[in-house]
Amino acid sequence: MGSAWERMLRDREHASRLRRRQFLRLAAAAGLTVVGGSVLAACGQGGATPTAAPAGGQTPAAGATPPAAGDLKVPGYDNPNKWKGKTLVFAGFGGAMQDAQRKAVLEPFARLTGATIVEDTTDIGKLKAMVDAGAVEWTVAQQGTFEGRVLGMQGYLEPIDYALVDKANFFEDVAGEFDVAVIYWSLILAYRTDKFGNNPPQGWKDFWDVQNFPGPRAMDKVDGPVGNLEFALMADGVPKEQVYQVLRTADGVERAFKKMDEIKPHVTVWWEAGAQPAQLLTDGEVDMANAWNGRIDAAQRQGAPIAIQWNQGLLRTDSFIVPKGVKEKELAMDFINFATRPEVQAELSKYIPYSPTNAKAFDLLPDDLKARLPSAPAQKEKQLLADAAFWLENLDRLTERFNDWLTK
Amino acid sequence: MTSSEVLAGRVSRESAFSRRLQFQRQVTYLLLLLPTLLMLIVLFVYPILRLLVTSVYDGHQLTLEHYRRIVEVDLYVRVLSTTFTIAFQVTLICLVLGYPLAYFLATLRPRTARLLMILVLIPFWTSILVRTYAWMVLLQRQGVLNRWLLEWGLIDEPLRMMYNRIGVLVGMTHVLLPFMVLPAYAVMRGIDRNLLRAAANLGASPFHAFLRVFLPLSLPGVAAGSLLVFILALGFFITPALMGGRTDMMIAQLIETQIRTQLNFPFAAALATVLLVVTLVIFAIYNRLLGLDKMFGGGY
Repeated sequence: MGSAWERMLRDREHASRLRRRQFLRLAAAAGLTVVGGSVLAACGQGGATPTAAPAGGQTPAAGATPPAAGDLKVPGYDNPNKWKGKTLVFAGFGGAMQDAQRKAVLEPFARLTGATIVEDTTDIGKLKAMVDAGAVEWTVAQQGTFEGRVLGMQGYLEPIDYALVDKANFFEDVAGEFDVAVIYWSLILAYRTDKFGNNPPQGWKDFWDVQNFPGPRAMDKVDGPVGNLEFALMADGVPKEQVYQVLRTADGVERAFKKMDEIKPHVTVWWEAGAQPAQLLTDGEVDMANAWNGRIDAAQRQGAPIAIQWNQGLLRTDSFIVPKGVKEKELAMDFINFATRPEVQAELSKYIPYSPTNAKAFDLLPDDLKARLPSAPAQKEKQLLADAAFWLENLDRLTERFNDWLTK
Repeated sequence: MTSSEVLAGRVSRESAFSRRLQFQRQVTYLLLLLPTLLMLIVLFVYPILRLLVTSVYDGHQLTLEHYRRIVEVDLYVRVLSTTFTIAFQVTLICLVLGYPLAYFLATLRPRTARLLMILVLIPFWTSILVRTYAWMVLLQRQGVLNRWLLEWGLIDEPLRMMYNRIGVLVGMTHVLLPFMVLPAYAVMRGIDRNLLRAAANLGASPFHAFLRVFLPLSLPGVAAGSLLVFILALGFFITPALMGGRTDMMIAQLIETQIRTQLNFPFAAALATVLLVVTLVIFAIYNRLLGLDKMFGGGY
């Protein structure tokens, strides 16, 4: 039960492909396992059996301009027998995200190196069980970067070999000891243009300002304190460069929660699923929300009168990780290197507006697409990069505090 | 050898024979039960014991640190109490809605009842998000229901029927109602209607006949249904997370977060164990008050 739900929530797929029907299909998978509702079941994980990647059978969902990935060329990958006879098992988030990865990353890798690719769905419980049992099935898995770093710290991952992964053009904090960030996504301020079109909110100060920007708000509770505390401090006037410095002090935490008290009565919905804020804004149920950029982008594409304010957004990453005791360590590293080449990352962004972690990828992207990607220079400089080290240290304590604050 | 001795010998032989027969029968039962028993031990008892061990053993030594945290931090006690309150409220609503429904179904011809039963079961086969979205369309601030009420002038301000406790109760009752209706219906079907006629014949009014005859006979189904609903409700987390307000956090949500983002399996195990123990205690009290074992043993 946990795994299906987790997949659905973590699956920050870009919803332009996430048309209603697809969403429902995803929901059905989650819903079926939920009806029973037993807690104990949440601790056991439903296992997805690896299925072979369909050979080009699936097209990216509607709304995208499908580029021809068949002729993608990647410098350094010109030996089609390099990994012949070897199998790479990739565990991704599933859904539209993995559909895009299949087209832009997995199939080109198979074509250019001769590796056989098998797909599965990522799951922290399953990864831990594999490593504990010494029977590691996956070669490379995807996780949120925080989760990846916790797993690394707990001894469940292989260190990344940067002799094999070229990190020369990576943005800051992309190359972790046990993880390589492969995409950026962003928690941003989204608002209804019919409500605030003439005088758009400029940042969290305006989000907190219910006099000049009246209307109900929705805020993120699935990420707990992550994002909300940073936003509270910025609303209180802390410049984005100093947010984590302030948050590292006990006074800073108090200040953030005190500021949160101010907005509490005006938040009518605390959202749990990524699709919620987009829907709430579209329906006019709320006028402003913090939301994952991909979902808002999708709603915009469907004509909803919603805009993104990139100012003071929180940039976050998802990472590729390698389970400890993996059989094909070199293959794993080579695959991660491949997935972070500018050509491959640019290709992926054409399918799904997740943003490259290799700065050079932007040289290969058209301007209209760059305007929608959170780590493109124009957007990136307006935002705050989530401090993984801070959250790694404080997530447990502050989540408890946040939940306590929330339920009071 | 007197005749009485002969008799005694025969009796003892007979009783030995009957004992052997009984023993063989027990062995047969046991063999028949064995697959289920094995399955329960491997898939249920063993994981629960592992869970317990995970919560108190950190790999080097025994520790009660996780349990201390649950007791010391207000949040966990508060969320546990919210969990049980919501489960209790949902059970009550299911009872109030489900009993008349089951009664009505039980009075219909079996064919018609079966058809109507499918309607009761539909939410069961619908995914959580579809159901939640349907409720959103109906209940939210600008939803269908509010728009009608406003148009008809029954209200001046939209009512808040979602993202609060009402939303949680509506959403959960919708899913759990079949668990109340099905056992209640099954038991009510089995009640001999002649008993009601007999009561009427002896001068009872229809209300009295229901109260003194039908109601007590239907209780086993109601008790089973209530217990099912209550226990299933305790484990809910998606419906309250999506349809509830900020204070409607249930314990399963916290367990899920501990596993999904904190990766703190021992603490999640401790929370799950507390939930299990409290549930067992409630079950024991319920049993003491209502004598469930007798009811399940076929009291009618």
